[in-house]
Amino acid sequence: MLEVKNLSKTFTIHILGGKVIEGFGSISLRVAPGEFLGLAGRSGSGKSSVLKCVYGTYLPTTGEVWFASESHGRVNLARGPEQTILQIRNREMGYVSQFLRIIPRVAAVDVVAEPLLRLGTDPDTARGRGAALLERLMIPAKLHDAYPATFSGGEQQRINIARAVIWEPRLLLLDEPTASLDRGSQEIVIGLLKELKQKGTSMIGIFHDRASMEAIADNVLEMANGSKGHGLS
Amino acid sequence: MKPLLEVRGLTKLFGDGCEHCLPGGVPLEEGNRCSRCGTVVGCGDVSLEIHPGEVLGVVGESGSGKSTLVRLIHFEHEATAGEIYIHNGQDASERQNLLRQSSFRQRQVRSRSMGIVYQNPYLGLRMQVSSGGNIAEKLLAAGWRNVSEIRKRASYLLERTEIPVERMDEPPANFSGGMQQRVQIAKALSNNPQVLLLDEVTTGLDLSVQARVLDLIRNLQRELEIAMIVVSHDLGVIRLLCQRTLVMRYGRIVESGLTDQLFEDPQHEYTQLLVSSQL
Repeated sequence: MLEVKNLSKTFTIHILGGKVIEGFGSISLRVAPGEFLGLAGRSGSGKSSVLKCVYGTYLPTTGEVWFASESHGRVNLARGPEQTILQIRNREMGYVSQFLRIIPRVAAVDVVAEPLLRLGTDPDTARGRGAALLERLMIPAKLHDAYPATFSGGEQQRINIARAVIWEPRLLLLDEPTASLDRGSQEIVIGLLKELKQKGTSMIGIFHDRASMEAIADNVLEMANGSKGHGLS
Repeated sequence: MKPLLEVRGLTKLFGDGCEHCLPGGVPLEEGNRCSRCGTVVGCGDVSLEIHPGEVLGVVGESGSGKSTLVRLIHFEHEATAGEIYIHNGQDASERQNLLRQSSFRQRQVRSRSMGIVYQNPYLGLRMQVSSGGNIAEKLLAAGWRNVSEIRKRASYLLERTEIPVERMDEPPANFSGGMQQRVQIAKALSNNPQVLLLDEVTTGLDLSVQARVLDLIRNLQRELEIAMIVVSHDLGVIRLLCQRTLVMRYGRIVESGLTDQLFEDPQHEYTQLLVSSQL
């Protein structure tokens, strides 16, 4: 599904006189269909940067990111045309961070249903599925039509997860999706992710706590600081 | 997939140029004005593509050539060099460089396939003519002839842009800035354009009015799946509306990429400065 070869990332900051900051060293990994790969390592080891390089939010400095796309065949996302990456993002690859990027003045249920509308689901069905998912994540119905800008951190995070899993992408990148959730909500989220995995979605995930990661990951990639080595456990 | 709009090497020099700066204008390192002859690069060797339904952002500080680019595409300035193609499946002459066509033909393409909304509503509307009349003018240019259908279309568009239909016979001069902007949007959309050009459409509006105009644009875009070029110096507007973005400076494109990539991993010195200048 996904094969990453010798990926690395450095940032050149011109406004600091061309200072070079290392994101992470050479990383290689593979994710099979329906596999969950956990990324582990201390903060600053570049875990989030790896996900952003795969998603295209960061431009990799070296390396290849081969994705087996349903519509485009095998594509190197690190060098792919922007149009192709956008189409793959719209139809096959999702990304969820711990922060909800607020879309102003859009109700919670519509934030969640939006990816389905993009894929052509009719609006009533999409909203219905959005509401059901929010219920399951214990967001009370009275909040469904409110704007998430005013929600608590934990509520926003659950909306974010709902938006990411509702359309069942083929590859899902998760950057600490449960960071500000209580135990109960965390378990619900892990349950949702397990279901998604069973339906065949491949995932790469970063978790702040080892227990959540071990509950779901098939394999774990340990990133060293500056991260040259990589051992699969 | 073929792009809907294709622009190649588009160049506009203001001035006659000299040995130092011809043919393409002064090198980017020297800015946008030739130190010897004073010729200014409005737009230098700009290439871009837009696919159907895509929203492309253009950012840069004032004077960077964003508006010049849009107006060249709208055939309002005569380009010094370059090529523009529209592949809309309507014309047999798709492979013809529109910049080399007669001004009659350019007007025809503009009336059929394009819409534009300016920062200043005085540029896009006749302030003393009724709002319905403003829309009718554009529809007449696009070949509409039936008066009652024109009126029907105008009232539909004003309703969609949240202008009370009972005010369609009033001139925009009577309206607030936000309403004038919405009349401009209604007019720009009247001919069902394939490409909508938005030039700083929310600049200078109150925050709440700006929000309504942006919501309107977002909703119309999703519903009509219309391709857009959004010019703005406001990074928030670009982030909200655009999937891909170009960064302009001194009339040139200095960087382009997916919008989230430009914001989170800017490569060019100028883009880094722009992103770090955000409030």
